[in-house]
Amino acid sequence: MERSNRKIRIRLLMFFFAMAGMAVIGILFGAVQIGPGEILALLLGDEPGVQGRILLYVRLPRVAGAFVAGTGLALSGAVIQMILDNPLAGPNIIGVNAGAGFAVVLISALFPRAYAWYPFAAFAGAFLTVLFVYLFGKKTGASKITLVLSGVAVNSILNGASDAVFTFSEESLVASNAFKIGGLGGISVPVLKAAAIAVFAAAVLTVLFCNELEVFAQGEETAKSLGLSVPFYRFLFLALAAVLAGASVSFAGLIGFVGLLVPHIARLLVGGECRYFLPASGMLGAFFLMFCDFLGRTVFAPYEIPVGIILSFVGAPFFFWLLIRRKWNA
Amino acid sequence: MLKIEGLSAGYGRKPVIRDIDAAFSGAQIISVIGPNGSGKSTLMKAVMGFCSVFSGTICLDGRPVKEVGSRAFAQRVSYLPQIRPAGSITAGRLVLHGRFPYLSYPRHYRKQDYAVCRSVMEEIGIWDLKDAQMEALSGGERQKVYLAMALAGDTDLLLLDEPATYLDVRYQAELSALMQKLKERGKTVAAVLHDMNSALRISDRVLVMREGRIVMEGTPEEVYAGGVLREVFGVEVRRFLDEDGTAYYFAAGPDRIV
Repeated sequence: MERSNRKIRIRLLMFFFAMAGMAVIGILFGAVQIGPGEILALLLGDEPGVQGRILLYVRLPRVAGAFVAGTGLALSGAVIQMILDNPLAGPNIIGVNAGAGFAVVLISALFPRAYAWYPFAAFAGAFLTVLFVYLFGKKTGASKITLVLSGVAVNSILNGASDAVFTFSEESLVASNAFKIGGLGGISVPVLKAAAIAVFAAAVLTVLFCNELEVFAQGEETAKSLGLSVPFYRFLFLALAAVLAGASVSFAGLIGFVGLLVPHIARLLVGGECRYFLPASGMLGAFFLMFCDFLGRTVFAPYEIPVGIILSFVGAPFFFWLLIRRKWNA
Repeated sequence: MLKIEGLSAGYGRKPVIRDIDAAFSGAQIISVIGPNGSGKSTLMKAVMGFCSVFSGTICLDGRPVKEVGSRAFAQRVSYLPQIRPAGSITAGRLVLHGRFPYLSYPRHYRKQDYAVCRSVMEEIGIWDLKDAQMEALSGGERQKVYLAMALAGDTDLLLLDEPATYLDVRYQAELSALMQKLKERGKTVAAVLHDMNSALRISDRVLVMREGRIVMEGTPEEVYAGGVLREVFGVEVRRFLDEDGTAYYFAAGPDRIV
């Protein structure tokens, strides 16, 4: 069994190099060309020039943001799809991102300078939403499709609530359109720092508990019969999914599709075993978002297309393909 | 080993099974039979803690199961559920999870877990499916994989909820042989069975259920001779003996529906 997984491990290594390579490309290339001399000077500790400042204060946070948000959203999607046993349950589809978004918008309107609280607010919003969707499905015995539809309804309510806050509060620091589309331009470094710590901690815990997650995903009866404490792990995994998505949304806005698409791609490439599937989702999520952001800021340079728009153009066709594929398989 | 006394259990606030007294212990095969909706699966689920218990007790080695930790319970009792989802996982990995109750933090599978997994899969004849995705397997193959997972737990008591579903005649015979083998190894096998012939032929004891109650418990001979099958299933059940004295049980044709 172990030997047959060699191919998957090689793929994981390839994803790692693709992700690292994309990060380097994202830092080195953009609308403004930065020469190797400038980078060397920065590495040697020289005072940065204009290009150096662009690299340090614009490009680096942006690539780091794409890395963190991509990892967080993709891992969150992977966990949610496994817990709900539903391949259509991305965090943006079932309202988790919208829940996090509403909480951030609300906090930014009420306490405009409380950056450090954004990830916590986002976590609370995401967690309450995913808990509601989960309990709704459990109590009503809803089918997979009903669960997704209930998530769509929750999405709609929460987006409406966010709009209401935007309408009534001019104090909100989060710009309405930019937040809804999702983007990585003008990332707030303090928010990114707090979110990065949250995503890193949640990602480590998720991978650490990968066997438990895999057993949980076999259905509650099977999990319980194998001695897994189902209520505890249900809470843990919902909380981890909420931290991952919420922290990402807190600085990157309502970026769609990463949480839905990337786990599917990862599953196609490495299968559904958590020890491979989760790292693959995280690395591909980081790669995918860094790549889309790179496209958004270079294709029409010096003009910029927010990463959310690029993702919609790439993600929606893929989603259609996914639906058609499911139909064929059925 | 496992003793049930005065058990009433069900879903929500509605009891499905009532006043159940039963004991699962020793090296034997116990069949639970009864018409659809008689509470056979609910009995299994109540033992596993999957439904609400309204009254009565379930004890494992004299201790109420609620006091036995979930991990310790899983090391003693394994369960084959009636509904077996086909998740995105390989057959080998699923069988390996049968060893999950034996892992302590951080839960990583050990060499001996892989060895047990292999020997169980070879015994059931599914080792060649180890790398196959569960989604790609037939209902019968999936069934065998789940059965292998239950066996990988190496527990004293196996609760099998309709283990013969989806299986062709040959595998049903193999399943009966496997249950016999488990009994010879000292295991207690309790199985919900729909095939009356299998249930009466291979079992040491038979629990007959109707409308949530056990209406008779005894050896296959006692159950057949007692006439309870006719009463519970509403059909004539006939027994035939072949040359070596093996008994075969058949439900009579539609003209014998009572």
